[in-house]
Amino acid sequence: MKLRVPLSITKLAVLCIMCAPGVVNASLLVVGNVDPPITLSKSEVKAIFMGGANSHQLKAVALPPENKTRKQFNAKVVGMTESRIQSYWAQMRFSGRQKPPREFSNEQALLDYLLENPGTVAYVSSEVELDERLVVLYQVGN
Amino acid sequence: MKKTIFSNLYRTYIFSFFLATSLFLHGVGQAEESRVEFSGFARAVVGQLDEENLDFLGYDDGYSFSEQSLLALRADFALSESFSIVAQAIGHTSDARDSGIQWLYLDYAPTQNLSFKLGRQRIPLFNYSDVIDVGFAYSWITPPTQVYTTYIFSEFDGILSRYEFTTKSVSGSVGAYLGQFDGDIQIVGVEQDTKVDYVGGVFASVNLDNFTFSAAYHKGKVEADILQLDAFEDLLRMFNFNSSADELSIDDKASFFKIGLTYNSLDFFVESEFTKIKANSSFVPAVDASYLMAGYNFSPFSVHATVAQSKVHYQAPVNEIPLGVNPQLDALHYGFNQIFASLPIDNLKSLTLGTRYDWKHNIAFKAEVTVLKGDDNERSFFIVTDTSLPEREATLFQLAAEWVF
Repeated sequence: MKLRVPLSITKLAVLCIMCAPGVVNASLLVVGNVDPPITLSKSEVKAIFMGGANSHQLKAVALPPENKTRKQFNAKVVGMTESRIQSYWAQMRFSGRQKPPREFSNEQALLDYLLENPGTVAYVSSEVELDERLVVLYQVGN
Repeated sequence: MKKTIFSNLYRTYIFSFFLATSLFLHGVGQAEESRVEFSGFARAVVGQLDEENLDFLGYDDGYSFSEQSLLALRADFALSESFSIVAQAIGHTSDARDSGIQWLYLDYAPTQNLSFKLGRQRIPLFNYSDVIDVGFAYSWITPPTQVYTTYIFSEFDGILSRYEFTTKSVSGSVGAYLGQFDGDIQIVGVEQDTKVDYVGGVFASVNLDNFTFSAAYHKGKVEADILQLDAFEDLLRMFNFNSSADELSIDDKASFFKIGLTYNSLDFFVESEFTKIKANSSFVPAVDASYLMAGYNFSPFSVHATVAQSKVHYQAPVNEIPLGVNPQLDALHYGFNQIFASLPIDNLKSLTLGTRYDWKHNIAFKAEVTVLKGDDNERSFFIVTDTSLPEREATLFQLAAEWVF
């Protein structure tokens, strides 16, 4: 039988850093101007960014197709290539079902928009500095 | 033609449409949110068939740019946060396709989950039925003919509602619509003045991980007078063969059922649909059609292969005309049978190989080869120029440029 060893302060510190939103162990963060704070599943995040409804009535905004963070988001959350996603949006738009999320040229513009608009949500690189008014809703691992 | 409650419904919603529009346009001046968005799509398609005796979707053994090329414009007028008016007009280069207003409706979305559309719309019969002209939306140049050209309804005037849902692991939508349509529809290969008394349906799709499962059921009632047969119909009525005479015009119900399964990943994609059309008419065939497509992405390229098939069956008409009484009645009997024996049978198997190159985020180029194999002496979606040749086999080559803006 193994003995439980109390965690050292160093280990605790490392764990705390890993748990802190958007610091380590995550390449992407899905953040929002949401009050009270909530967390989302991958399926919920995918639905929100692909125009589906969500019980929290969140509205997605996005980065442009050539953006590196968007490419990572496509690969790790949506699971489709940019080309297939663009085809999907053509189908949604011209059948009158959904419109793609509004796009912002860079992450700072995206974050500024989030701060001004409650109920909005976006994906950003884990390297960005987050305003404390924004909530991490979902983390994408490396 | 019979009057139905749907005629009244039609008048009611047209009135409601304009009332709502007027009310909201009145308030537009003050509304900060009000704006107009324009968008559109276009495609240029060139194709050639390798057979001189056959014509498929307008393609023969000479190059043609005009069969599927088109330009469409769409305007979304946002009247408020939840109301908008949408209009979409299309211009086809082919005379065989109707140009004009395809969509014109009032959209009301009280919440993110729920929406209502009131007005002229395309029917979401199968996966791509309502965006069949938007080539950018799918991988093929020509979606499987067996599934996407056999239905007789494509537009309706009415109401459509959709509800979107999500849970922690599943998302999807359910919807229903009801409406009617007056216009020209292809029946027996000829444009006929047709009244769709009603058409309605329910549809649902569910997304789970990389899979999307969809199902739909639609039902409609069509009235059409086949002008070429009017004189023969009158003759039968003169002899009191009324049941047989009734067979020569269309006043019947048709139902459509489909299930579909789609798989999408970064590398592979698979799309399939199985469709079934049932009709109570001797002129409108029952059709079982399906396709299975598998594709591979190597961005910005993708390649795909599709097998598709259709099986068509007409129900036997009621022939009351007795044989062996006198030569005139015999002629009438055989004449009646001949009409139904000559109805086109569109059994077709096909294999399509294609590639798509997404040059820009809104411009794609495609190339496609389709090997078509119909049954001997049947129509199999071809127009046959020399009927003495039984073979219904050909290969269609197509190139396309697709654009959305």
